[in-house]
This record gives sequence, C-alpha cells and structure tokens, in this order.
Amino acid sequence: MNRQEFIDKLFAGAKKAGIDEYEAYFSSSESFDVDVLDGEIKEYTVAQRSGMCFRGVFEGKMGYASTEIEDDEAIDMLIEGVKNNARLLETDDGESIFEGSETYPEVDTYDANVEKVPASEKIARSIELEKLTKKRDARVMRVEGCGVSTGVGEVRIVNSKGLDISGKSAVYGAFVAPVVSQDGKVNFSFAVKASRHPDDIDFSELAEKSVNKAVEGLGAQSIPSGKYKCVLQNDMAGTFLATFAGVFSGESARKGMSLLKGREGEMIASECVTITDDPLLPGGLATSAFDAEGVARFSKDVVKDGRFETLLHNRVTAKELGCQTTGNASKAGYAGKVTVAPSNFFVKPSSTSFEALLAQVGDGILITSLMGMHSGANPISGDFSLGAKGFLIKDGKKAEPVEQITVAGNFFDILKNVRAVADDLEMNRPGSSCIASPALYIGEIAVAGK
Amino acid sequence: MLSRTAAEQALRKAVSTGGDFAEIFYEDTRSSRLSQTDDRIDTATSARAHGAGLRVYRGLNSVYVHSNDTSPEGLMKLACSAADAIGSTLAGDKDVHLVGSVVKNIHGIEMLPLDVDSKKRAALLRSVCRAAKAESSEIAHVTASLTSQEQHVTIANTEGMFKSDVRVYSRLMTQAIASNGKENQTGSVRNGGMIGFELFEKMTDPEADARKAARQAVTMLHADFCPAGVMPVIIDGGFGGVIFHEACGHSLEATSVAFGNSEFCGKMGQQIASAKVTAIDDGTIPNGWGSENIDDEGTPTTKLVLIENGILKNYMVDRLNGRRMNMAPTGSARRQDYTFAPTSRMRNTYIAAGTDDENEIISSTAEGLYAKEMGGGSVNPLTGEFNFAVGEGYLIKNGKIDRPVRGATLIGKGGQTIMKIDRVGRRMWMDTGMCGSASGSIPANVGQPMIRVTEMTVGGRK
Repeated sequence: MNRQEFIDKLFAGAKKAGIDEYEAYFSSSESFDVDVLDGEIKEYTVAQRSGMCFRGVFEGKMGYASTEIEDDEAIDMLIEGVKNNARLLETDDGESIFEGSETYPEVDTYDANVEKVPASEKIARSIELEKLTKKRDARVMRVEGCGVSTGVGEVRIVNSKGLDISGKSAVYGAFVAPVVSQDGKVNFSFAVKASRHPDDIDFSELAEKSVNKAVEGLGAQSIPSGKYKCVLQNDMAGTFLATFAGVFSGESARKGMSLLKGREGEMIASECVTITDDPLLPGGLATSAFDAEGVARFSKDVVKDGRFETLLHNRVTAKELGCQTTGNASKAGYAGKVTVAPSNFFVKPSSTSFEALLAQVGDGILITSLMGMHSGANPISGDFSLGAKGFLIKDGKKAEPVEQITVAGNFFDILKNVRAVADDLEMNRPGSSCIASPALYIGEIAVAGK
Repeated sequence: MLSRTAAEQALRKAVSTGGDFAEIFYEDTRSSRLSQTDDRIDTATSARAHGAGLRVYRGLNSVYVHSNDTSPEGLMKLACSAADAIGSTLAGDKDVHLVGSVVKNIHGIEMLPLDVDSKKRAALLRSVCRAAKAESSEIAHVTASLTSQEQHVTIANTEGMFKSDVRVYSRLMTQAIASNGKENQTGSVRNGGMIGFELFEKMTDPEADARKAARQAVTMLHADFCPAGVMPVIIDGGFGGVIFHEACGHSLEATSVAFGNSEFCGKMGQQIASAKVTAIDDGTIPNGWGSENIDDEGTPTTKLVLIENGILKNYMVDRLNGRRMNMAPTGSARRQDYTFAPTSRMRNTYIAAGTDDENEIISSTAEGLYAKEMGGGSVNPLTGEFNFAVGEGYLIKNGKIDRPVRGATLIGKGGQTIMKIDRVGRRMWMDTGMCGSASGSIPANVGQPMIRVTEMTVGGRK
C-alpha cells in the first residue's frame, strides 16, 4: 500500500473509532558510513530506516503508537494502541493537535549534492584522510577510526486539522581518531567535522587538528589537588552546556526537575554570558523550519547578558506554565512522545581571542577533555564531578599536559563565575540539537589529582 | 517471518561478488513503555520495530546494510547493495542451503509482559511511587517506568544456519528526588531481566526497592561534599560491579583487542589483576538481564572465565574480530537491534565471590571512602582511563562508617586499579544496567561482592 493510501485508511479508521483529533508523523532516513583501516575498508554501512508515529486524542487524552511497517495490520495496531494508551494516562496536560502556523520560514538544509557524492569518492576521501593523518607526524602509530558519513532525512507531519508539512535535510561529515606514542606513552584524539555541504570539509585541516591534539597531550601527568583558575576549551564548554541544557527545558520545569522554574528575569549568569537558541541559523546542523508539533520556529535568547529570559517550550509546557511555545517541541526518535529540546543552542562569542583569554588567567588549568558526563553530572542539581585532561596554564600560556584529575563544582555557580568568553565558537555536532560554546574562563574550580 | 527461500536467495546474491560469508539478522520487536511521575501515569506508548540487517565479509572487510523492507524483493535489494560494496569481481554462484535448527530456551517466562493487563502494570507503578513518596517528607518527586519488550529474531548465514529465538525483557526503574527547595538530590533503583512480569509479582519486592531509592536521595540531600584526594576505596557489591565493567570489561572485548586498542592486548596467560580477582562473563544465567540463548550471530551463549586468580584467561570474541585475532567466537556478539552490525559485548559480567569478611574489610580501613551505591561511568579502552560517579558514598574513619558524602567521582586506569584490589568479600550479587558501545545500547548485568582498592583518586569539591 502506498503512503497516501495508508494515511487515508488510517485516518478513516481513526475517525470511525472515535478518536477526536489525530496526527501521523513520518520520519525516514538514508545514511552511508565508511570507516577505513590501513587503506582498506574496515566497516561499510548503508542504512534505510523509516518509521511512523500516530497520536490522537481519545476520551480527552493523547495516546501514542508507532510502527515501522505500513500495512493493514499496522493500521489496526496503531488505532488500538492510541485508544489503549490514552485510556491508561492519568495526566491532563491538554496535549492537542496543532492546526499549523500562518507562515513558515525558509531554511536551507538540503543540498542535493550530498546525495550525489558516489560511494567510491567517499571511500577514497576516507583513505586519503587516513594517509594525511599518518603522514602528519612520525609519532602517529595508527589510526583507530577514520571515515566519511552522509545522511539524508525527511520528516512529514499530516493531521486531522489540515496540516501537511514536510522538511528534508542532508549532512556530510568526516572524522579521524589517531593514536600517537612516544617513549612508551600512548595518547589518542578525535576530530570531527560535519556540514550541510560536501565541499565545506577541509580534510587536511581535520588531519592536522586531530594529530596536534593527540601529540600535545603526550606525557601528561597528574597535578596536586587544589583550586585552580580554569578555562574550558571551546569543545568542552559545549559538552558542558549540552550536559546541563535540560535545566532550560520547560518539560523539566513542568516536572519540577529544573531549578530555573519561575525565575525568568533573574540574573543567573555573569553579564558576559548570552545563550541563544537559533533554529534558523544559516548552515546550522540543527536548523529546521518547524518543530515536532508543526510550529514555525524562531530564534530567541534564553539568557541575555546574564539575565534569564525564557525556558524552552512546546505547546503543552507553555500552556501549563502560562506562556507561548518557543517552537522547541522535539521527539527523541520518531516513536517518542513530544517533548522539549534545544535546536542550535550556543553561548554567544565575544571578540576576545583564545590566546588573550589564557593571558587573562595567568596561572591555572585548561580543560580539553571531560569524561563521565552521563554519570558524574547531575542535570537536576547542577552538581558535577568529572574525569578530566588538559594543560597547565603558566604565565598566560598553554604549558605541560595534565591527566588523571577530576574537576568538580556546580553548573549554576559556573554560570555566575564566567569571567570571560572567547571568540572561537564552532558548531560541529550534527543532531536534532547542536549545542556549542566558545572557550570560557570560569574562575576557580576544585581539582582532585595526586 | 523471514522466508527461508528468500533468505537463501539473498545470501547467495550477497556472496556473488567475492564475499566469503554473509548473514541476515531479521527482527520483529514489540515493546511498550509505561511511566508515572508522582501520582499520575504520564507516558504510555507501544511500538513495533521491524527490519533486517545483512552483512557480508570478504577477509577482514565487512559491509553492513539494513532496511525496514523485509519482503523478498527488499532482501534482494539489500543483498545487491552489499554485494556491490564488497567487491566487483563476479565470483559465480555459491550454493547456500539453510537448515533450520531449534534453539533451546533456558529462560522460562511465566507471564508475557505485553500480555499482562495494562491496569495491572499501572498498579505496579502506582504502588512503587506511593512507597517512595511515603518514605520521607523530603521526597519531592518520584518517577517510575516499566519497559516491556518481545524481540523475535531469525539469523541465517551462508554456512547454512537458520535459527529463530525470542527474547523477552522486563525492567522497572524508579527514581526519587529529595529537595529542600534549593537543592535536589536523586536516588535510583532498577530491576530487570530476560523475564516476564512474574519478576515483580513473585520474585522481588518493588516497593521495598522504591523506599531504598528514596532513602538514598534523602541521605545525599543531607550529605556534605566529598573531600578530594587519593585514598583507599571500598566498593559495595551489586551495581558496584560497574567498576569492573568499565575499567576492565570493555578492554577485554575483541572490538578493542583486535585492533590493538586495549591495554590488555597480548597479555593472555599473564597476571593482569590482583590474585584475589576472578572475573566472569556469563550469558547463560537463567533469566539474567544480559543473558541470551544464542547471540546475535546465532552462536550459543557461554559462561566465560575472563580472569582467574588474576590471570587473563579469555577475551570476548565475535565472528569478525575472531578472524582478525584467529580465535573462536565466544557467543558474545550483540547488537541493540537490526540497525547495528553486531560486535563483541559483555553479557552478565561480575567479579566472583572471594573469601574476605565484609565487616573486616571496613574495620581494617583506617580512613577512606565507602561507595555503597555506584552511578554510571565510562572508559577509554586504549588507555584504560575510567571514571565513575558514586551515587551514595560515606567516609570511613578509624574502621567505621562515618558521615555520608556526595558528588564523589572515582577515576583511574583499569589495569592499575585491578592490581590494587586487596579484599574481595563473600557475598556476590548483580544489578541491571544498559551498556552503550559500538553496536548500540544493550542490557547487561554488572556484579561483584564488596571489594577494596588500596588507593584511588577520588574527585570531590572539598
């Protein structure tokens, strides 16, 4: 049965079954990944996946069911699933189907050239990247992983209130992970770059960056425990922000799991901190015209010059907390319930260079790697205690490498303690949320070492 | 259902361009998730995942393709795409004859979880949320979720294998949040298995577990920050086994070992841990959370001694990495679902019971940290560097458990840490986790008795 027949049959059946309003959310993706080792293909994956989620209001509640097969049996399962699941719910969050925004922004997320790159070229590029990486420095022992990925995704939302909207996106990415050794000491690193356009990737820059990162960390040692002035390198500042991004979610606030609930207008960060959620960012890896409820998206500051402006909302959390949706409805996979997530979410860069930022510190520590974000950080309390690596900062310059330390503190304290923001924002991570930051000088931090 | 004829044709096609082995993994999975926040059920979903993955090897090269289209035409399309990718030389037809064989089920199920009346499932969530909330007035929120899954798989390969199996999973997770209005602390418990709803009705006491989560959250709300430094650390049994899982287990998977990306490469037969340590990875435990009948390549699962009295005995090996390492597969190949190619993974992994008295372990420690409940962690297998969060920790003073501390993290290098285990207690138990790695997120048990590490770096804020 073709897609339109499936929708027609499903919607007719839903109406007959007494489901008041309903929506079909279709998601499909095709992806290609190649990983090479010693000039040969190590892994090669071609994937096609499509799934659909059906939600509908039955007896006043929104039920959900999903499937990866679109046949007659699935139609029955979806309708029964929505009814049964709706009956189980005890929440009355007023979740409803959206009739659509008046207009939608134009976004440029699909470059047909991504799909046109032949597999043979992606394989050749990967092998070249591995070569470039090995050639870069005699201390490169081998490359643990190296490859190119492309992906094309499409989302379509069709509902009983007349909305029928779709969006397509494509992404091209490359990564390399060299292993280096010197005098029996081993180190590794990882560099990745993703873009909406295949020509944006500079393979030799990627090789250079990954090797430099690995080599400069060789011979790292632990340092004595104590308080150190601390800089988070841009990628780690981004990782850190991503770990605690949930505190800005209206969904967390609604469940009583965000300490920011009801604090709009308060100063929660240092005046040099502005955090923006911009789903329309040109070239952004999380850019899209509409959210998971079909609401037209727009840019907003979540924190402006240190002042907390707004939580991120979907239609349900906005209604419950008495405000307007921010167009941040999201689904974790096509089958998931509508929740809230950031889009392109970043700390606004300043005009201070990274080197000038280190100079401001004088003596301290630069963190270039954090471990245990999913276990050592509590996204509710903001407390964290994480394994870390990095460098000492001496006389305002990057000095000896450091490993086997932990850094500990609290996210909300860090926000208030940011003393300076650098200019080196890089938005590299593809996904439905793309979270990043320039390097941040975050004042003093507790370090456990030897 | 995967048709045998369609599978034969697709496999034949898949090896027609020089591939020497091909395999189809077919999956049809039904699942449901029910969760409650405070006093109300707020999520109820049901889903059906369906698809097939096809893999071809040529020597050490491998290609993986997958799709939702499992019709004979869909499988043939997959096979063509894989055959094109693996080689260009026409190697002529290889004959593939699939012979069905019966998989012996060692995991009895009494109450298929998806058939259990939804009201009964909802009542379970209600009772655990109520129990956690009633434990203390400082408990601000409780969430509980019940996941149920039935995974039907069929695995066919060019060596003639055609096997089907059903994996039934149930898991209940409860999280309690204690709050004083300014700060929140959490406590959590989990219980699950390759088992039906009988786990909650007859075999465990979910309300008692929920109260435990609540007490942990309240204890941590009143705890001071952990001091930082190097000290002896006592790690309790059960989820404490996550330390072995992260610090050593991942480094013993062929995924790391085959490429030289493990600190335990080339150490077979050598002492890599304290003589007190015997560690086992066992996929055969009846109804175990990480158990199976056959792995995701169709190899029967096994009980594998990884380390015996400190000596490295075995790696966990999948078929492809087995070729790289010239070792036989150990029934350890696992994957989240058909969208992932399988690789070597842990199942139910634990440090075996030792001979030390638990009371003595504490009383003989002058000063240190007692990690009663562990949080999660991660590791880099190449360097062995790991980190763990301590969920519920206490300082030890003069051989006695003193006050609770929060925010502690344990870091170290796996190889060094397991050499420093100087006590292994007598009572071993396991706890359920989800392990994320190259082939996705899969159920895995961790376990150990109480152990002591003579020194570890403890991260804290004081």
